[in-house]
Order: sequence, then structure tokens, then C-alpha cells
Amino acid sequence: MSIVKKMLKDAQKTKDSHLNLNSLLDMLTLLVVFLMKSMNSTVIAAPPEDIRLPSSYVGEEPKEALMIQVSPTYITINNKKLVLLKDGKFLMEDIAKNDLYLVPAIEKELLAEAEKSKDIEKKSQELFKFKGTAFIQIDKSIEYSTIKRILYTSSVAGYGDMKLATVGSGE
Amino acid sequence: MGIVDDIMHSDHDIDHETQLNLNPLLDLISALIPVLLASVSYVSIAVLNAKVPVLGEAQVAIEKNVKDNKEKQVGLYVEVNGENFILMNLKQGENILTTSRVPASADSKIDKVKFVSELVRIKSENPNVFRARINPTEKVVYDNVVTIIDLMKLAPKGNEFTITDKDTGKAFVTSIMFDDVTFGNIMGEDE
Repeated sequence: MSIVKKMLKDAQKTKDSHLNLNSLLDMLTLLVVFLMKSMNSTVIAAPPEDIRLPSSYVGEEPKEALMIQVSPTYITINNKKLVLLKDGKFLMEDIAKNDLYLVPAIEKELLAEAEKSKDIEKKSQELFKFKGTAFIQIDKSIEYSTIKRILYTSSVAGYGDMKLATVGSGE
Repeated sequence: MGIVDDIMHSDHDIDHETQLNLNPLLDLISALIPVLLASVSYVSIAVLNAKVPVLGEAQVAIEKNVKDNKEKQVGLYVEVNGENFILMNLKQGENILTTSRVPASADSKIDKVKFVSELVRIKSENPNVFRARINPTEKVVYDNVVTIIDLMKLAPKGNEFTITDKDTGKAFVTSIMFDDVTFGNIMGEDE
């Protein structure tokens, strides 16, 4: 009789047994933390597929700023497509007639963005300062003749602090 | 009596083995992981700082001040052309202090090894100079512009320079080379 009871008791214990999920849970929690940490900066900085960034060893973490993207076929400012390029070069119709380095469509947009930022600066009682910072993603195949026009136009509009986006391959 | 004892004993044993139900937490984490995996970019993006001279009222004042001090300031002027030939001039005002030429490598690319060794040599001789102006010609591709700026900023491992702070007179060691980079030929200067 007592042997049967012992067997029943053992059987009941076996029925209630659990898988120990603690180690799995530890691993998954670490994975979630790691993934969340790697998300923070790349969200603002991830370039579109048609922009291949150059690589660099040195570099800082990107911060939020006005975003200029230059692919071989277009230029966007804050994701607004403004100018079309042909093989990474400007079309003559997009360049100002009296200034060979000025691109009026880009200038207009940058001036509007600068105006907005300066307005915020006034309203924030100088807690926010307009520093003319632009985060610029340029395809690595673009020639300097195109870049020079973009930098010149940015400069005319008050943007002189360029953060050149690269793919970090540093130590 | 013996049976009651046994039953009580067995209930007592089962109570001791109660555990937290981790299943909902596991469900939540399992749902979170695919979402995070889908949104994470596996490319690490970095930024290189470079300046462009800005036209503006405040800038005019700064430029005037800079112009007044230009004779005293020393800076490295780096020119590169479409054939990846690099010319470096260390200038104080209009006076050239050092010149260095780095021809392209055998495969027509930037000779990184020679370029870095020249940079390290110039920096060792002029440790307090951090300013640099880069003047690429129109045919230079962006990849090469970034490579040059990248190599100019930091010395390779094992190369350090002793800098003396002008205000405090204190000396410190750094591997930073020419970190203050400006695009020099944007506004028509340095052409």
C-alpha cells in the first residue's frame, strides 16, 4: 500500500514539473538590451539603399540635425526631394544663371529651415541655439564638383558646420 | 490517520515547489526581439566634422578677426587632384614653411601609407598645429575626400605628440593630428 502511495506521490510531482526558463529569459533579456542599445543612433542616421557611404576609422556618433542626402540621382533635404541629378551631376537648369555654384532650390529650402531654427531660437529664449549644423550623407562615387556646389549653397544659407556621414570601421 | 498524514505531507511538498509564471514575460520578450531585429541597422554610422566658411554678418566679423591674426596662424593646406596626387603645404599666413608631395600609389589610388607618414612627420615638427584646409579639385570623388579627412584627424597607434597649452603652459600627450578641418576652396579662396 505504501509503495503505491509513494508511486502516486512521485507521479504527482512529475506532473507538476516545469522547464527551467530562467537561463533562457536571462539570455533574451540581454539580447533585448543589446538590440535597444544598437538602435539609438542608427535610427536617425540610416541612409537609403541608393546611398553608399564611404568608410572611416575616426568618427563621432551622429546627432539629430538638418539632413542632406545626396545620391547619384537626387538630393533631398529632410527627406524632401528637391533636385534631380544625372550620373551624380547637376543639370544646368538647376544652377543659378548669375552664380555657377549656387543651386537655388537647395538655397530656398535651407534658408526656410534656417529661418525656422532661428525662430525657435528666439522663442526658446536662447535655450536652443542655431549653429548651422547639417548632417550630410553623400554617395561615395559623387565628384567634388557636385559636392562643392552643395557646400557653397549651404554656406550661403548659413550652414557651415558639416557632419559628414560615414560607415564606421574604426577600432 | 496514516493516509491523512501522507496526503498532508504530499501537499506540503508541492507547495514548496511553487514558481513565478514567467510565460507572459517570455511571450513579451519573444515578440519584442523580432521587432527590434527588424528595426536595427547593422551598419554603424559615424560622422566626421568639417567646416565650410559661412557668409553672414557674424561671420564677417569673425573673418576680419581671423584675417587680422592670419599672419600668426599656422595651418596645413592639403590639395588633392583627380589623379590622387596630394600636395601639402604648411603655411603661416602666405609663407610656406614645409612642402610635401604624395604621388598616387602604383594602382592609382591614394598612397595612404606615405600620406600618413608625411602627416605624422609634419605634426611631430609642429605639434601645436591643428588647423587644416582641404582643397580637392572637381574630379576628386567623395570617397577620397573622406579618406583624406579621416587620415588627417588621428595618428596611427604608437604615434603621440606632446602639446603645450599656451595659456597654462601645461604639456599633454595626444594622438590627434589635424582635427580642425575646413573646406578651403568653397568661397573662391585658396583656388
